[in-house]
Amino acid sequence: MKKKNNMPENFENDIKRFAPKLSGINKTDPFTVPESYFDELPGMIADKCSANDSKATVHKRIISFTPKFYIPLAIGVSVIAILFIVYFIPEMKVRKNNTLELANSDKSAEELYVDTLIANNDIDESLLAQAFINNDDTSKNIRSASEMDQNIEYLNKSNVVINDTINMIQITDDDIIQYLNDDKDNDDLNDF
Amino acid sequence: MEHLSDKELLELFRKGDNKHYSFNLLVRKYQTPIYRHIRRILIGHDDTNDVVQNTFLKVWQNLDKFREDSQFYTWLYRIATNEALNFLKQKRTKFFIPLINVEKHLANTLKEDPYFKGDALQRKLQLAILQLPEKQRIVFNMKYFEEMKYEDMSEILGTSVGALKTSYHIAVKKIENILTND
Repeated sequence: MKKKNNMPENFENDIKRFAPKLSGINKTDPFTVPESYFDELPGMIADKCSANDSKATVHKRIISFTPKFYIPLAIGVSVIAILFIVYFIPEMKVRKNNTLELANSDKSAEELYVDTLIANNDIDESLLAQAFINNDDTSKNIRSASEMDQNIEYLNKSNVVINDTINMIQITDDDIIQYLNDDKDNDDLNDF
Repeated sequence: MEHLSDKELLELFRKGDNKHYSFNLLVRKYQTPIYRHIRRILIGHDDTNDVVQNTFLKVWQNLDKFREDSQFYTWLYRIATNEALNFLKQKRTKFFIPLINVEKHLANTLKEDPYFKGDALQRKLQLAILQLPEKQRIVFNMKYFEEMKYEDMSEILGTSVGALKTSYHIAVKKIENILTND
């Protein structure tokens, strides 16, 4: 009886019949080894295993060092990067747009500077007005009625609302214009 | 201690009192058959020596993970066979030896090997075996020389018993043809 691929059932037990040339060859192992090789081999293997163990210990130490110091560092760097992407990049874009917008207007350099500060939220309008009023140099610099008129005109153009944070009263442009008109000759603006 | 079974040797190793000693006993038990198995694949002694040492090193590194789902003996042979085949693969890549020339390379190694002590017929047989495809060559050696059971070979090579029987049958016929025609 024959199996798949014409393999006889008793093939392995009757190899002499199916492969007479092959079975006629001496089956002893022709490969030899250097003298006392098998006596020395266990020692060579043991050395290799020990060398591997000490290498693995050093490697382990490095691995244990790595997460301890580098994972928090990596987390910190990631947080900073995320904050930069989420907050600073859009902020920088807004500032750039505001500056470009202002640069295209017809305002003077001083007006542009003040508007840029306001647009970029660097300074509050009320604070600006407060500084303007409290500063001696500012009052001294307003020398003439024409200068005063220019300031009034500027305030008329801008929609400035000043909050008196102490008395919780809102002072509008009209109040300021009225005040300036009333006291044109009064240099002591600090009393405002 | 030399006559301990695989199971007893593994228990001794797992106890951890003297892992190196119990491992040494395993090496002594299997070094000769593993050497011969690898030598038939790689032919040269020096290459075989390297691969035998790497095989036992792998065993040392992974013995703790060995869960006895298979016999230790078949697990060890599987590592040895893979190491030998990987060695040949690396050699091919390293020295740009095309697949077709591997047999030629191994045949040259056989001719120059000072540790080959076979007669002319044995050399002829080895050269005939080298003409077989790599996997078929391994099947032939394991069955013909090492007289391994098909079931164990199946576990080692991850091939069905039926496929192994067919492969062996084809290999024997090819060798017989080569020996007859030479």
